[in-house]
Amino acid sequence: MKKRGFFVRGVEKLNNSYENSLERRDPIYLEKIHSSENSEKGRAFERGGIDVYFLIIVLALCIFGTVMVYSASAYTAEIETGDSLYYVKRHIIFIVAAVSIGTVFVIFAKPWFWRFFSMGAYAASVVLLLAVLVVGSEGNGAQRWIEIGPITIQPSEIAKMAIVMFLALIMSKFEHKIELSQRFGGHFRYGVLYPGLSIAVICGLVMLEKHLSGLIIIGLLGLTVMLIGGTDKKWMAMICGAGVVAVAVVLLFSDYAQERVMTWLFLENADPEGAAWQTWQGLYAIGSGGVFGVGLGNSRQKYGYVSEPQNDFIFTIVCEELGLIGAILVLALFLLLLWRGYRIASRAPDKFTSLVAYGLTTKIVLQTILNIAVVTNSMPNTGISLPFFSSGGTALVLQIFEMCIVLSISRYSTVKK
Amino acid sequence: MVGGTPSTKVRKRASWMCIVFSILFFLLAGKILYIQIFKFDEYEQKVIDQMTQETTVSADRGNIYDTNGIVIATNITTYRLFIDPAAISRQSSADGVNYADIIARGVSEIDTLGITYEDVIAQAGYTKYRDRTLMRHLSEEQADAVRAFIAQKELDDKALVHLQATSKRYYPYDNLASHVLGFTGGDGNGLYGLEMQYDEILSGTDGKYIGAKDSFGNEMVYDYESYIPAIDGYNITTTIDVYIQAELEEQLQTAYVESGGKNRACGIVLDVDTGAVLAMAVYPSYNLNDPWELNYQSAQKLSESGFDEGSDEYNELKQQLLLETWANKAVGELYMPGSTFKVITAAMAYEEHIVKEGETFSCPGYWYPDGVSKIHCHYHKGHGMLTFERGLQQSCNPVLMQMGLRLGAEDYYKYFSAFGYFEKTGIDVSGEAYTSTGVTFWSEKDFLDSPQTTLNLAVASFGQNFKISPIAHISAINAVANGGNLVTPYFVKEITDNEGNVIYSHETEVKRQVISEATAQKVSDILEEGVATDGGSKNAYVAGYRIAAKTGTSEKKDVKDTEYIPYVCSAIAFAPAEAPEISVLFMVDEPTEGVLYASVIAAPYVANLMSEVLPYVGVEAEYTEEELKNKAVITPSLVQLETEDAKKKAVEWFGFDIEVVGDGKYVLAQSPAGGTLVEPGCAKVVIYTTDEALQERRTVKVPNLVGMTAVAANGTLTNLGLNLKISGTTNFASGKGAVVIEQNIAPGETVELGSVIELTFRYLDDSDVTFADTENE
Repeated sequence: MKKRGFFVRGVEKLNNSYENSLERRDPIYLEKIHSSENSEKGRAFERGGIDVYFLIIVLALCIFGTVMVYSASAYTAEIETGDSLYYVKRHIIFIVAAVSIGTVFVIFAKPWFWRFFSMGAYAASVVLLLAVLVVGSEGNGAQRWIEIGPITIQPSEIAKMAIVMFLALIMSKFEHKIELSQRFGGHFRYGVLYPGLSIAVICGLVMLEKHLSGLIIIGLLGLTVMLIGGTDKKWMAMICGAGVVAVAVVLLFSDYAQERVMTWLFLENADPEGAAWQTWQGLYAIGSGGVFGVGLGNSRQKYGYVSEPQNDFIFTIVCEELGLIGAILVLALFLLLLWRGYRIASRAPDKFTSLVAYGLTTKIVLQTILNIAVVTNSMPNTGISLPFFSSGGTALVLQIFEMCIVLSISRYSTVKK
Repeated sequence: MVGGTPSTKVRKRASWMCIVFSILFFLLAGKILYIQIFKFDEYEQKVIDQMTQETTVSADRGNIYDTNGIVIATNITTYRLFIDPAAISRQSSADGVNYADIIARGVSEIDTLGITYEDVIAQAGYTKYRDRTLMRHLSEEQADAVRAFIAQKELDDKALVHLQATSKRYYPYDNLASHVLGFTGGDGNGLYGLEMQYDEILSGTDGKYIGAKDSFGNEMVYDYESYIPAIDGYNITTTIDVYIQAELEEQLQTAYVESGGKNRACGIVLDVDTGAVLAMAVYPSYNLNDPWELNYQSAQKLSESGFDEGSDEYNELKQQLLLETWANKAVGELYMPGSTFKVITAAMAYEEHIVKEGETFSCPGYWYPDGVSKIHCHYHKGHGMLTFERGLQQSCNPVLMQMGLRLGAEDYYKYFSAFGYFEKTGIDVSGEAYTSTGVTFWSEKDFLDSPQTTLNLAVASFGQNFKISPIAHISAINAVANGGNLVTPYFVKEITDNEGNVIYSHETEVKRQVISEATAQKVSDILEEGVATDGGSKNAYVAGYRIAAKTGTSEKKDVKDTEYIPYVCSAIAFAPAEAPEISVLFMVDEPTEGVLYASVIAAPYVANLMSEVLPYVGVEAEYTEEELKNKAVITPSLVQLETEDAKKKAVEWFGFDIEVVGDGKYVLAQSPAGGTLVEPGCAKVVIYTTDEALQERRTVKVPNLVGMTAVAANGTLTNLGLNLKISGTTNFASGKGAVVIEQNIAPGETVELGSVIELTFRYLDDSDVTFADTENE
């Protein structure tokens, strides 16, 4: 067959099948999906409803998050803007916007669509990350935001999603070539070099805007998708080793990072009014909650003691107000999300969608783990927000949109015949 | 072929990831569980501590009054200057004006504050906080300057810069009674003197307000809000009399400076019957409003030490000098009383009736108390045969030694103890020192029962080789003065609350009667007679008052390595002798200049003090005939009289010599002027009766009179046509030795004929030295 270019055949085929056939007669659904190596009998592939459990979990997190944003932010909002509803209003607007957009995609988007989407997202990320260096607005000493009218976009957040989807595309596109073991053009080229370069481009750009936490998450997400996608363990170990070296180098040369690590290691010696203030106040908030908490809305630490309680440290307010029970509830919800997201991924129609679902679920879970690790002082303090809870912004919109992608994929699950 | 389902490998790896993440979740849950269960108590306490705001509502410290209700210690308002960085940053971004810069420039431009621009900017950088202090203890003037700055239109009503009033201890008389009052530290606690002794009573109880605040310092609604009002401190009325205190300090200063004192001077004035301390002072004193500043003398010593400023030795010496400056010598330090103790020995002797009226003793100028050791009398030639009374007046050591041996060690010890020397007097101020056997007195065994007993007793009987505290000594002397009662000296006579309710009122505490009234009267009569005639303490004489006094000069045998022989010159006195009102102790430690006898260094100042204080406390002067004869007379006013009438008036009525210049009919001018005080006897007035005579008034040069006796000085002045006025000791006529030590107009100056030259007389003969210079032969 004459080579006509990247993806053209696949696009043609899918397009034809969409245009020419009723859904039920679409070959993709009639094909026996489990090949010999995956020979479970009696399973069929069909387009159906969304995964309701997953939806419920996401909605529960959104509602829980909104309630906590209100409780945590009311006082700060009152002081800063004079409107105690300021943050919760924004939060709700973002949720509604994200859900509205997401719903359209859940209804109309077919699995192949996400392949184009992932390429677009990756390209857009690179462009935006470059643009932010030029036209970005500054905040807290870093240049990470692009303002378009009333909307503020944080390109590194988009990059997090883009890297997951783009790597999923690479790993599935070269699915068979990755299996090959020739010197070049086989596993190394398709399973290590291409995905590695894709990550490196994004990471390099994120590094330029000095977004350390973004860098860590993007790196870890990229590695996760590569690992699940089939990159050899040996290579994974080497890349991880390189990552560790990179972290060490950063620590060696960045006073800022060093200070964070020293504060974490020797919290008792750090200035409780300065570097360790946020960490201590977070711990006080968590600890003073006890088993049952001080009651919803009764946090004492949100009165300026936990800095920006509606943002990265919102989990401490959850712990304080709702106690151990509330904290475990939050963890349980995320654990359920992990389980259900991975379940959807394992039943996805193809490797690409599967990797996307794995990756996006992982993204939520990874951020949750890092966030909670930070607020419990289990790792150095970096600015990582808690998905669905931390107030508003690009991150929230994207998190909800990513869940919509997973929901969209869940419609094409393999089911028992 | 694009697409395909996830392979087993993918799912397997995903499962591993899932497990890893789940484990991480459980670990985090464990950590949260740990924090919330095991750290709950600690962190909850932290949260409550940091949010509850306990505002101290400070109680006002009570005032200290003198005996007449004059405030001698009180509180004044000072200000704390602070800014509100949170408000500054909010206002700055709201108005687009850099308020931090405006404030920093404005505040740094107020020169009296001494705050730099950078200081303010640094504090303004704490933008989370509502209250950052720029400066404490601003005076009213400094606060006014700040208020003027705040009032300008850019800052008015913005509440960015604040002044908070706080209270500071203030002593209106600065140095007055510094050692009695003491001072307070930075936290308002009394550190010395009455401020320390009565700290709890003065300080009251702080109240508090417990509320809640957010981390920016804003008040919050709080369930446990509570308010406990402050209870102000009580006011203290002391027995100190500002007038007497000032007079005592004045005399101490004069005595100390004139005698070149090296180790401070101190004095005590007691009310004889009640033991109330009317005045107590140590010179050099220090400024209570700035107690950490060295006084002149200490600063002098520090700069003479040659240490580099800031070096360890320098700081150590400075600290040591400060401690020395603050110490109340009159209560906290011991000294050798010397001859002043002979009063007590005499009282013991009379109480035990071991000396007969008119019994004579012999003084060859020395005596062998134990047959071996030779002890000199201060008068080496010897007093010859003399009565015990005269022996006491002349401060004759052999007489007193004989009396001591007659008394016996046990009785001496008994009385010494009864006079209260071995105990604290119980005066209401901390740090009182007292005599302890074996240390500052002989041990009981050495004194009562040892081969040295006789010698020790002999030495002890004239007050040498043991140490007592000034307050204990004056208490004992007081017992002699008031008819034998040992009363507890005290400072605080009344404690009142703010409404004037009396919380405590002092009642005279008589510890015991030590000697009989008759004995006391006898001793005071002898002392008084000594002062009035030719006794060793005759410099303490004040015309019109019967003063009982005894001086004492002791050599500080325990002080070594000084460039001079260290003496303590002291005097005790009480007056009026027939019914004593006040008793005085006066002591100069280590004088170095001039005649180093207490009769010269202490007694004259006691006289000065008595002459001022006795009239003040209401004792009226009663002059004897001889005193009246010697009393200064007033020059009659003769101007505008007819010359003949003037002559008659001056000569016949007033007993003045008169010299008439010119032959006019009326007196046009006179010298000295009418009303001027001059000594009687050879007083002279010059009158001018014509204008020509007035034109050429006659003048003379003032001669040098210093060192002359009264008779010689009077003769010299009379010959020159000048008049004489005596200040200081005025019983000079009865003695031989008083000489001029000072004249008010310098020799060589030209004065008008008839002018009054004021002379100060003093006895400079030795009379009371009690060196225990035993010579073993």
